[in-house]
Amino acid sequence: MQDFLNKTDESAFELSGELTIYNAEALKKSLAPVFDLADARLSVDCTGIKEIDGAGLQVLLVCRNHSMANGGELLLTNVPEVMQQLFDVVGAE
Amino acid sequence: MDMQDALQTYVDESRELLEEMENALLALESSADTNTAENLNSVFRAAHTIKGSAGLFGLEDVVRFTHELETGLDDLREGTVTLTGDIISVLLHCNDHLRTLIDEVADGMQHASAAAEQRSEVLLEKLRQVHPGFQDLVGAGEHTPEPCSSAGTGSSASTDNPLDAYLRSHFDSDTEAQLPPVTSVGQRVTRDNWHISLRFGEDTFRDGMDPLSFVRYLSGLGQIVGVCLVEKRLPTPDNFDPESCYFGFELCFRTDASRDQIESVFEFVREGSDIHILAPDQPLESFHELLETLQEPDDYLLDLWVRCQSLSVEQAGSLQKGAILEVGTTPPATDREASEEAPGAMADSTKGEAVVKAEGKSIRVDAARLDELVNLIGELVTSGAGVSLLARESGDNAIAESMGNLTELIEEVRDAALQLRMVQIGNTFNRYRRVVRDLSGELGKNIQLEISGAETELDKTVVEKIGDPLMHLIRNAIDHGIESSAERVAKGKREGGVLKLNAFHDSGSIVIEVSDDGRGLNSEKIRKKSLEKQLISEDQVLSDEELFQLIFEPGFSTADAVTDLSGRGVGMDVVRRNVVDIGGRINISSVLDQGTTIRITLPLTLAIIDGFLVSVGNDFFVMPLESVLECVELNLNKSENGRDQNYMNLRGEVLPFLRLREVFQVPGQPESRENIVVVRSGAKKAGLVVDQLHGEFQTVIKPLGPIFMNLEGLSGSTIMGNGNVALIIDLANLIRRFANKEPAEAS
Amino acid sequence: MTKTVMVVDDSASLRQVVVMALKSAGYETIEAENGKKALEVLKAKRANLIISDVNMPVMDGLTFLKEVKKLPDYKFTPVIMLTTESSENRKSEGKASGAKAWVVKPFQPQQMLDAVKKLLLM
Repeated sequence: MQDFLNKTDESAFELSGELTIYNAEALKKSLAPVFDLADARLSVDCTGIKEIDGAGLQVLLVCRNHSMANGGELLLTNVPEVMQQLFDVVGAE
Repeated sequence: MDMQDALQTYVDESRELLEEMENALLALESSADTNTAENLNSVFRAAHTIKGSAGLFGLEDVVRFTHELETGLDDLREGTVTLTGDIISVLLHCNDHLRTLIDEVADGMQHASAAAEQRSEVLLEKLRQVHPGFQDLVGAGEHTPEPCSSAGTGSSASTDNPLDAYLRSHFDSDTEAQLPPVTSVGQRVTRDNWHISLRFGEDTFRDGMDPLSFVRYLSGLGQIVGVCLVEKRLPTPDNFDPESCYFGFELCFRTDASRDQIESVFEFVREGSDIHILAPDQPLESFHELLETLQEPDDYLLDLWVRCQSLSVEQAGSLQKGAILEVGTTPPATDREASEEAPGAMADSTKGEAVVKAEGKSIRVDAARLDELVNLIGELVTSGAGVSLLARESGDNAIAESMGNLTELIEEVRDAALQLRMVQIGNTFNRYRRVVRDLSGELGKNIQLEISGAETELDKTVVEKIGDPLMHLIRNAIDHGIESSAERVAKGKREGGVLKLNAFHDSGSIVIEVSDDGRGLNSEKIRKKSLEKQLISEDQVLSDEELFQLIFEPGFSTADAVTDLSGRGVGMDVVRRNVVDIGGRINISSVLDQGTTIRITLPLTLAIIDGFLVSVGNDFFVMPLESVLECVELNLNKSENGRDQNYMNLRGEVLPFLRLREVFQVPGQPESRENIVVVRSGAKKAGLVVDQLHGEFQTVIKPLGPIFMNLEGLSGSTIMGNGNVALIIDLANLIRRFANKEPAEAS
Repeated sequence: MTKTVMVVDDSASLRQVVVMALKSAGYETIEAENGKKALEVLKAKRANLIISDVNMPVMDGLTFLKEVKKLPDYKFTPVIMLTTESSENRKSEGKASGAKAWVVKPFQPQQMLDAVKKLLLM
């Protein structure tokens, strides 16, 4: 299985690859560590994201909502241009 | 120029296809070749391909001709019309003619020469003569695809031929150029914007589509003032299927584009998704309706609407109270309360009560689930009928009595379930306010829309299907029915015209009326036109009512006939067909210079019909009650030709009839006393010969199983109280088929 | 990233015009003249969107659609089917076999571009 997530620190991760509908299932699975740490303040570095579509974004949004609901926080850093454009489209910050 | 290459390819390709077409036609003509289906398919494909590409090059005249040809060919291919030598010979002429048209294209002509145009008409007319059923399909303007845009006839092309000019205008320009200009931002108040509410279907991703892509495309059509993701729709990780789509948006949109343009953005996801578009001038009330329609809590939605700038805080406040008040009339206290709380309405818990109350009033249910329920109840009725029969046969009175009670309950459940699908027609009516405003503005007419009976309820499926026909009628009334102000004043009428939409229930049906106080229909002119079009014969005496009905005939109206004639017309046959398709009927009453009223009578629901039950041998058939005109005994002694005749004399009128026994191949001999049911489908009357009449019968329609799907002349089945199956007759189909057959082969 | 659109139609001139329109809008294109050929081409090349006619010799559009949806790489790829009004009944067949996006022939180049843009993100 493709791995999209790489743990770099206690609370820091790197996300990379093609976050599209074709990988949505796998992406959800590899985000398991982030889902588990729902109550923590986490940061995810997005530099390595090559491509992202609605389905990929949706996985991240579900992940972020889950953190927020559990008192945690999910901070996306180094968001690449392709990804920022999508955030702008949907009006999510 | 690349485009010239493509055009050359098109010419070559078309010539090749025409050759294939000719060969196939010749093969069809020679009885030696038995591969009819394949040959017909070749002929069809040639016309289809030539037409498809012609559109790309803006070759309107080729499109128009091949389109009609293709429609007729489809009929032959499907086998609903039998191929005859005459048809083949006309088709061969059409083939030659197409070659001429293509030659003209090769010479750089975008529009066919007058001579060729005339020839097209002549050939299509011939085809109509030899091809029964063709007449129903072609001839009326509405079948012809939209003419290719007016580009290309521009005068700037002085040095080029027109075709070049067309091609240039479509390829050398910026591809975005056709989008409407974006309104300048800033000086307008908030409710000058559109509000769009999007809930994408669960399968959107699986269908290969991305919601974000549609939103992004929308932004090319205007300016997205604000957009909010409906986060509440996002599931928790445990319930999250990453391949399902949970996206929903509330967005405020500023544009000069029309509703149609906005709707077309979402055309590929319309099915399965829930999309609501509120026009700028729709009253605040429409947001109130939206609150009731959408699943999310009121306060949450109001907060999103404020955030995406579709509503001001005050407006949201007035909606929050559940009262529909115009901004400014809201009591000050409420106003203040709302402005403090609405932006922070995310904190649902504090307002929990209000939300529960609002939600308690209505629950949104997926229409598909309701259909499923209705379907299951249909099954329940069926099984119930079976048990009921057993109970009676058992001779045990106690069981029979209990079963009787149960049957009553089942019927109540059925009625209640159908009731669930009922919606008010008001929403549909309100949609036309904008149409009336825009269209009357465009035409410089002063027209007021009056709506009554908005609270009348009818089945959701019926509502969905009646929208387009209504739109057509309204457009017609505005365009052709109501006169210009000057004309009205000259006639001594009030300057402003009135268009009325009315709905009411009438003995188990719903009636929708579209009336105007315009120029009315001119029966004399309609008569003349019908004679011209050979819809009636010289010696036919028709009442005004009957004459008006003729405008619904295919082929009655052509675009140019409309304006100078009666003021009605384009595509009225399509309107009627749409109405008839859902079991309704349409009538016109009109007084010259006083106005026209079109009355559509629809069944309350598509799942139940009022039927008329008859039997042939041991088989039972149901036909829609509203189509049954009368029943008479078939008296063969009085007949002139004896047993094999297919016509009878009904009070001086020649009535063709059809023996159901023969049509559906019911075994056994006819009873000595047969009955004839006189039915009407559209303007056609016919008699159906049956053994016995059993009277009115209200019934739940069940679709036919796949095996019977292709059985012509039947539209469904139903279970009767005694457990027997009765088949529902598709009268329109049956009569059409009958009309296409020679009496000799009627068996 | 440049997106690639595949155009499947038995009419060479139609392909030519559509391809030209797509290229002018900045898309890459690949072509095939029927469903069977298209499946072969897809083995070697990647497409982000497929435009396919319904009525084609050798392998028609609906069969092609069914086949292409079976390929793991194309499970979620948008497909635009080309149809004519006279084939409304085939359209319902198509819907049953999973086609969601339709463009009615005859269409203008701009209409096709609009349809493609609605379906392709970025």
